[in-house]
Amino acid sequence: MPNFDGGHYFLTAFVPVRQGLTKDPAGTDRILSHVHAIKEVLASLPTENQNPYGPADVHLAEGMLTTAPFSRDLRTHLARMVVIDDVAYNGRQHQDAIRTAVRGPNPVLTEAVDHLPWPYLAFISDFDAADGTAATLTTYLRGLWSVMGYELGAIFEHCQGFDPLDPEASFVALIAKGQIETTLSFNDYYWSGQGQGESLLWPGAGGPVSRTREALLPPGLALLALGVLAFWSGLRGGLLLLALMAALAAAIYWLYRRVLSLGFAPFPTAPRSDLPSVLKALYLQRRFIRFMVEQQGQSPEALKAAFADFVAEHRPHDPSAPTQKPATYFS
Amino acid sequence: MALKLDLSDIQGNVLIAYGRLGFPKARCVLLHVNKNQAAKARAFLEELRGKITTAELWPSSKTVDLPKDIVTAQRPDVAINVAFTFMGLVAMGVPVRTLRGFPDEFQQGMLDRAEILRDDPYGHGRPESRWDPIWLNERSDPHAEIHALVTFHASAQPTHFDRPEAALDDAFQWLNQRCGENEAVSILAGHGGPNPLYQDMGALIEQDPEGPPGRMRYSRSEHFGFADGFGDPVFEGQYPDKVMADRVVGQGKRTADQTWVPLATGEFLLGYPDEAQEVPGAPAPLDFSRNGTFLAYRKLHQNVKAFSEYIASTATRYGASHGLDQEEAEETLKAKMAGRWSDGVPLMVAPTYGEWQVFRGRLAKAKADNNEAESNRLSQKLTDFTYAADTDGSKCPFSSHLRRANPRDMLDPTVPANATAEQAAKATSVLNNRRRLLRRGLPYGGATPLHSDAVEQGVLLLFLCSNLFRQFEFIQQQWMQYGLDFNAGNDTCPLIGNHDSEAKFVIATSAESGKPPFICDRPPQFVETRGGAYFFVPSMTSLRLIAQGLTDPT
Repeated sequence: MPNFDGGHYFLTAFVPVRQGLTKDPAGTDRILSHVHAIKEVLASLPTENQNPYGPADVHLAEGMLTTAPFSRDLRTHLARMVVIDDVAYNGRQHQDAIRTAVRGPNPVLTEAVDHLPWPYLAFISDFDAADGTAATLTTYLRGLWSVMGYELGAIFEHCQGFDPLDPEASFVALIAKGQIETTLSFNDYYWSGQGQGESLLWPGAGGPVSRTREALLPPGLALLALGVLAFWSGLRGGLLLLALMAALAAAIYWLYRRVLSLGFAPFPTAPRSDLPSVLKALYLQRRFIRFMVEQQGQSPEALKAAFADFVAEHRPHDPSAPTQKPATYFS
Repeated sequence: MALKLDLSDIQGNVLIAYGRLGFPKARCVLLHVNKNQAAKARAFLEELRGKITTAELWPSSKTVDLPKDIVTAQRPDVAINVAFTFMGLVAMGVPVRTLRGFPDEFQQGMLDRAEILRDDPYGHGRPESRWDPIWLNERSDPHAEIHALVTFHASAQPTHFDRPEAALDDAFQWLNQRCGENEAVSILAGHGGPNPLYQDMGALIEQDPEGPPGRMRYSRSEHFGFADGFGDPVFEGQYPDKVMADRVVGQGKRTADQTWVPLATGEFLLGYPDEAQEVPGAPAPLDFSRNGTFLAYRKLHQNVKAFSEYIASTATRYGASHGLDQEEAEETLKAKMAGRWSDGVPLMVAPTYGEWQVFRGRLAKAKADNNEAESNRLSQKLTDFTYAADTDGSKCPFSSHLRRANPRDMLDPTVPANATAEQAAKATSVLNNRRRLLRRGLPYGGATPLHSDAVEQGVLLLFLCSNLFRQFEFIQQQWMQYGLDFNAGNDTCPLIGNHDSEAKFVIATSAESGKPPFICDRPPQFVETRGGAYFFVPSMTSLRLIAQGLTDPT
């Protein structure tokens, strides 16, 4: 899967953390490593309000519930920052016991253990986007900076190459430089239009994937024509076999290219899968359940009037308001 | 070879509920052990273990016929059993290497698992839901730490006493006296009932329907009025072969060829292969854990007044929308919540009030005619059913207590959501086989007529399983306090779940009926936990190892 799929951009970036020591970002007299400092800052960020019953929430004031900084950006669905301290050691290289006995290496000798040169800050985010271009990413990052630049600055000042004099531009540049391709994205809002569930390589009628069938037609016909031609022209034995094998090889190569190009082509955007619409849907679901419960047994006339009131109050077609606050599970 | 359990190594109550053997009254006592006098405490246990009732069958048992010329266990007036908390085993001097083999949830204990179980021990949500002091005292007083549970179950017709209560008093006095003499072991106080030193429980009393007015009998019902205790898992080795064939139907596991076979023993006893064909991890040595199991003690308070008032008021609306009179609507509403009619007939056997009355009539007639074959055939239906014929939940709601507690064949992942009747009939209980619990319990307290819910009344449940996390806690958290597996979103169990300010319970209707579903709006809290703890129920061998200080984990 590429970085962009189904109307969402899946960003993965690894930014090297600075070496050396720094003052405690919390203002104490302690001297910390930058990697320690970055973890302190990350741990101090408020998270979303996940659980209406959790004991932690009991102590939170109402206003504090939505202060998760990413909730200020209405494009971000999920975001995660985590420090990768080092690669995990996975034990000695696997060796064939017989081969080792005959040719070595001597199992008594230790093998080299590999390490990262420095820790990395991983930034993983999926957000609403029209396409997967670099410009789209830059726009997103600048938008993010505009609403949570204070927090981002406090985090990225501990990263190599961050320029405190030009923080926004250097943040954008650091992410772009450290971006790696997201190879396995998790898209919760999938396109469920016509043709879903069909085989892409041998699809049935209808849907955009039927293009594949049309594309399969020319090489198939060519292969058939070649076989017929070879048979009728009186070729026999080795030559015929050779021609068929060549045709088969060409078909397999074509199929391989076809699979790859299908894999890289993003799915279309699922309807109403942008964050404001998702929040509105959650809001409406909750309100509509209550509406249903309260209107049980009403006459059709009363129900119609009540539904008109419901529509007027909750404005189902307006994703902007009234709606559920981001980073809360209950509105 | 088929598995043959050493019944005399397994404590009583594990294989068969004492209630079924004619022990309708019981008393629970919690003990504290002075860790500095572990040797003395072990001497106490050495004395106690000689009095422990095992799973060995006694000749008067209704379930089997034993040859007369062999040595048999005698039916006791009072069955005595013992179980330990993790801290209790620490205090008894069990080696650390054995202790660390216990699972996390048992080491932590029920109080610290409150968030997972959605319990409210300190009454943060509602002050009245606070636990009895005995379960909380250990947080402020190290001498109040709960270490052991001793249970006494009294026979309905004791041979040495005039009534079961007298037998219980006698047994308790003996324990109290021995604790006084021993000094290393003390009885903890703080139970919520009339006597803070123990928790009594017992079958409720009702008018005998076949006897003259005033002749009473022990009832199967709990305080809400539901006959209880029909469903209980059946596992390999639990019953003699001739009994097993009958018992396993509807209670074991459902196979693809639509038969019922016993569940794996390892789901309920440590040291045996379980449903994953593994021997679950357990404390070393094997002798210490084998034939032992875990017990979850739950004191569940019932708000009977709130329940009956809610049923009455909601039934009026329900009856109006579905064309039922008040009596029919109340009974149907209760049945939809429980999954069984108040006398225990499952909704899957009699989906409507009318069909229920017909079934009752047939059962009453079979009994009146002394038609044992017909009576047994009908009684078997109380446990022999599946949900294959109810894929839309219009007979027995997905969210009903019965369906949540034991979904039987309904969660088979190989059966698609829009399955045909033929596909649904082939469903197995594969996802349910590792979530079964042995239920042992009796009601406690109660007062009639009911003016208030601020009285001692509820049900004391003892759940037994080999893995509290996978079985007890999973059912409690995922199936009772959540609804996703039943396509019921956040909805909790209508009977025992926590009901927050937006609680609801959906009664589905079939598309053919043309009637809209009915949604029960904001039921109040019907059941509240008043206390509980996790215990390890050792085998008799294990009790000897603990009592003699001979546990050797190496």
